[in-house]
Amino acid sequence: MRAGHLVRPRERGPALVPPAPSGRPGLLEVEGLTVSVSPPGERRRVDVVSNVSFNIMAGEAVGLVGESGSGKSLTLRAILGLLPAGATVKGGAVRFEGVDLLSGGKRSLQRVRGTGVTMIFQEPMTALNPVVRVGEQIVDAARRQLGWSRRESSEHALELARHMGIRDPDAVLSLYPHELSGGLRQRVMIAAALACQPRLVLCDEPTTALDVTIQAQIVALLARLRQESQMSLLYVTHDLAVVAQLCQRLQVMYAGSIVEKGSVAEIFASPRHPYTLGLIRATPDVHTVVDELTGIPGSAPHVGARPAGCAFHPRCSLATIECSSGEMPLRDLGNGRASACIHVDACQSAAEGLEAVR
Amino acid sequence: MLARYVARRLLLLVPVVFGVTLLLFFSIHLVPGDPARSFLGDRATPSAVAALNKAWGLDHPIPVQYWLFLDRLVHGNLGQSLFYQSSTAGLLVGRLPVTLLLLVYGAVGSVIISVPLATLAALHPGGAADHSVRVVGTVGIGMPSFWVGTCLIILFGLVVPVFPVGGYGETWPSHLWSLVLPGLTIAISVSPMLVRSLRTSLIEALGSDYVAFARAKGASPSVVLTRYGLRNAAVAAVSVLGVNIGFLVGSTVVIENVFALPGLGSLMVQSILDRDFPVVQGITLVFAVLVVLVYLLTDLAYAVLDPRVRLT
Ligand SMILES: Nc1ncnc2c1ncn2[C@@H]1O[C@H](COP(=O)(O)OP(=O)(O)OP(=O)(O)O)[C@@H](O)[C@H]1O
Ligand SMILES: [Mg+2]
Repeated sequence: MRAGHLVRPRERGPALVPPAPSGRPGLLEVEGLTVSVSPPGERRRVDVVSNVSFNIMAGEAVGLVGESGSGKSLTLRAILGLLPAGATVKGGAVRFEGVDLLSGGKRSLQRVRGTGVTMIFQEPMTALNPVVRVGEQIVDAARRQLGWSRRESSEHALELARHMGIRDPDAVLSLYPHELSGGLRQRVMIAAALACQPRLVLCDEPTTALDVTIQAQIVALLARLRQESQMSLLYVTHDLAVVAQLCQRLQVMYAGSIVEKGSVAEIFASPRHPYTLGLIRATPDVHTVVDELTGIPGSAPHVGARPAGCAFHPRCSLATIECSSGEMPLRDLGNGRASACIHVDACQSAAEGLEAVR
Repeated sequence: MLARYVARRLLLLVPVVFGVTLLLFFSIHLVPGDPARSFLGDRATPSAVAALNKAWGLDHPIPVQYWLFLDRLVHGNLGQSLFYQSSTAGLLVGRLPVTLLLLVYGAVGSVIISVPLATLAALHPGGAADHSVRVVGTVGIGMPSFWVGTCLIILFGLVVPVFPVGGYGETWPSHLWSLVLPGLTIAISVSPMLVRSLRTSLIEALGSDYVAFARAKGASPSVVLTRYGLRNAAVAAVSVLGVNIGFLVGSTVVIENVFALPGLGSLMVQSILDRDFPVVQGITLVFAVLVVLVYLLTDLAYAVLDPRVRLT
């Protein structure tokens, strides 16, 4: 048997990839992406992802965090043209290796899916076909794309399964999804997603549905795969500890917009948006003093009820009258950082308490 | 496991058959009219009628007749036709293939009609194709099968004479050919229901996470449609198909008469007119068994299509 198409390292580089020099185009470029839906029972369209822009470089892992309903999943699905019925792309551009995926039609999407970009879903139970054996599901797409024979496919399936840390793959691959444990199902889904060796994997909370020990295993698996193959990740999670473990850069979403981005280390050390600060304060793994743990007061706005001005201002302790009107674009803070808060300095001093406690 | 399941389901046939015989035997004797008299004609002498009744065993009290009937039944003897010079069982065996083939034609035909229509409708829900399919389906549901059959006869008998419009022919090829229009009639009456169910489950499947993930993996549209969409939609649709075919067993009575097919359905009508009790009983029994077998096959197909189903 061949020495494993997955195992073959593309290029063994350092685990942490330094930020690419500016001017070089990213692997994935998202520009002004806006997605709209109709709120339940209403006919009007409202934007649930508004004007989202970011780049992902080759080999880079980028975290995307934000409260439930902030538009993370829709952003990921829009990139791959997989929006659910009722959600539509209103504007913006998505380019993968320079090829526009939004206006390029089904052809260009079809070419990129699997081999260029793929996606791992939150719920492996619903994301796997319930009536097809998992072994077939791992290779059914790759088989066509890469022209494998039947025998080659089953060899690749075994090899992929083994590579994902599935023990006794012969037996597992002939089972159906409902016959597997949650962790195994997630490994199967990752194997299927990686069968064509994609350059970028969009991960939509791939561990949320699993219990804690299995979560750690899956995160470790993804970290290992990334080091081996230099694939890029866009990793959606609620878990800042996982971001710290897996990602170099972080973007924080609130009510459909990115409100802060920058390197993980810098944001954790000194967030420049009150919402990020709140998230960090609410996370025990990052900010270890339990006494200091505080939730963010209030709750995120409902679809179509986005407050004017900064969407976060009704919940923000730093809010002033200026926060309640006007546009709040991301402002460049230099060194790859950006924030949508107009009180960056106040936020910085509020965050100093955070560092002091640490 | 499968064999035990089938065996147990087949055992269930026994009480069903028993119940049917009971219902049938007593209800048929409530029908007014004396078979011997109608067989011999109005001017037969009472002694001739009595002699014939005795020969046919009709002089016993009804409970005794029922007992004798059951006794013969367990020995595979459905009695002697009062009308034809033949045993009922022999008559039925000769007629059964026609009806069975007709049902198979109907089942296969309805799948051939429904899958493309449902796919067309489900690919763009609310689109022009979807609306057209729905309108055609609504019209189809409203049409009784004898009328559909008559329309097909007019169309294929007078306008485009391709298929025979009646009779069964002499050879196997002509048998198969002559069943096309009757089979189509059945298929047309089942299809609206099947299209509706397939469309709903296909839309659901195509909107599911597993289809989104299949697309994300780079699966081609045809693989997504067949191995993910239709494959999953078939699970729900097979039950709808089974229930409808089971239901249609009875409607072969109408269709075989419209197309003059020598099947069980047309024999049933004739035997009722002739007051040929043993034959009517025999056919009803066969129909009951057929319905139960169709449901059994449906359950088996369901279990084969969906590995989550446990046969117990
Ligand atoms: N198909 C849809 N039709 C209408 N509204 C939708 C649809 N899908 C999502 N939404 C709305 O869009 C908003 C963003 O949804 P999205 O799933 O992207 O959130 P999320 O950030 O992934 O949240 P979570 O952390 O809970 O997964 C939500 O308010 C949701 O109610
Ligand atoms: Mg989500």
